[in-house]
Amino acid sequence: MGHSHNEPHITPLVVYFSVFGTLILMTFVTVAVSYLGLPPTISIIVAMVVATFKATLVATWFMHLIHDTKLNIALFLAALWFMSIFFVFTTFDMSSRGNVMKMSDTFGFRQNMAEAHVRAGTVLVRKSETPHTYDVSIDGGTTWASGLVEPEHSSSH
Amino acid sequence: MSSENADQKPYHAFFFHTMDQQNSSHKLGMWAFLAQELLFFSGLFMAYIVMRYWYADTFTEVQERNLLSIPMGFVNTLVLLTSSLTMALAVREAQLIPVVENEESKKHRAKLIKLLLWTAGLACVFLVIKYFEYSHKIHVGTLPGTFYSFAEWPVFTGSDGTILGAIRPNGTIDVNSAPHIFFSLYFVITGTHGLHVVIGVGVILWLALRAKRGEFNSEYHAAVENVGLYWHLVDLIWIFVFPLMYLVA
Repeated sequence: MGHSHNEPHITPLVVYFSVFGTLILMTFVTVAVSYLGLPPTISIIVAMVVATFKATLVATWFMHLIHDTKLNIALFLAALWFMSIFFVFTTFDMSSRGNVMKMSDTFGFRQNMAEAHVRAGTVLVRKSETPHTYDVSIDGGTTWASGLVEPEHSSSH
Repeated sequence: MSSENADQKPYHAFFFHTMDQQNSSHKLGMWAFLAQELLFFSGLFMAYIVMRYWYADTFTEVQERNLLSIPMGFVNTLVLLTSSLTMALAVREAQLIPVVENEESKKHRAKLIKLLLWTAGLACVFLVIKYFEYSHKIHVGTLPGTFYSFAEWPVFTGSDGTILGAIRPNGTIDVNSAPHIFFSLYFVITGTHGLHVVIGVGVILWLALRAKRGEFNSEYHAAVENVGLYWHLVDLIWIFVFPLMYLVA
């Protein structure tokens, strides 16, 4: 076992500085990639691969997991394992939810509701006291929300 | 039986047989806490995944409208990474302090204090930059939930007070657009992380104070090591928060 008695394991300075240099370099890489205008799915995969690599460096060298006891490493990996169960199963649930709840609480349902308001003329738009700003209401004029809205498709006062 | 040993060190708690046992117990406790921290933050990251799944377009729009400052997030990443380095070097200095007090131990302890103060200082730089980011958001109104009042991307409140969606320039409502929820997520995630940074500054300064009192040496520095672990975890979480919030939004 690498765990020493009374004398801690001293990591050479060069290791700390090389890890730090790599972390900085990877930060530049991840920012540069974000300016390439890749499709969202690809860019999120690249960003997560780089972040995971950086996190592994920090955990291995800065947090000394490489010289740590098997018990502490197991504890860390157990946390990651339970995190992944949480992420994967919640994602399954989320992605299948639309099939179960087609009738309510979905975006389609809410969008249809909103569009029905527009068609029925219950969406009201009026000029606000603030210049270039319009007030909008969908409940017949009880509640007005302010915003920079041009009144085109809706019925106006 | 050895608990009343005359040559037992003052920092050696009587309920541990050896310093080795004491140190490994302290570290095990810290790792259990860090495991809890990871699970705690995973709730926030899961909220992010759900938000992305439901409001993918909002993320694209936040990025197109440049509502988060990439330069500020980038500089903060560099600052936090540097503070992680100074913390790692501080732990190394603590490991090098000889148990028997001499010139060598004074030298390493002085370096330890200097590196701890650098770490705390960089953490404060991080918080100052965060302060500028937050105050800009408060100024323009890109705030969580019902506090959201950003005029260039207005949202629409129903008669019961709930936000129904964003208003498009043609006067229609888009329920897939939810900047108010995006900024709830932004403030909760960066705020929780920021709170960890604030606590980090506190414990790092506490270490510096203890080091100044002449504590810590190569066999007794579990506190330095554990605060170091905590600080690296705060850094590790930011390594994920930065690209997720600022870059791939």
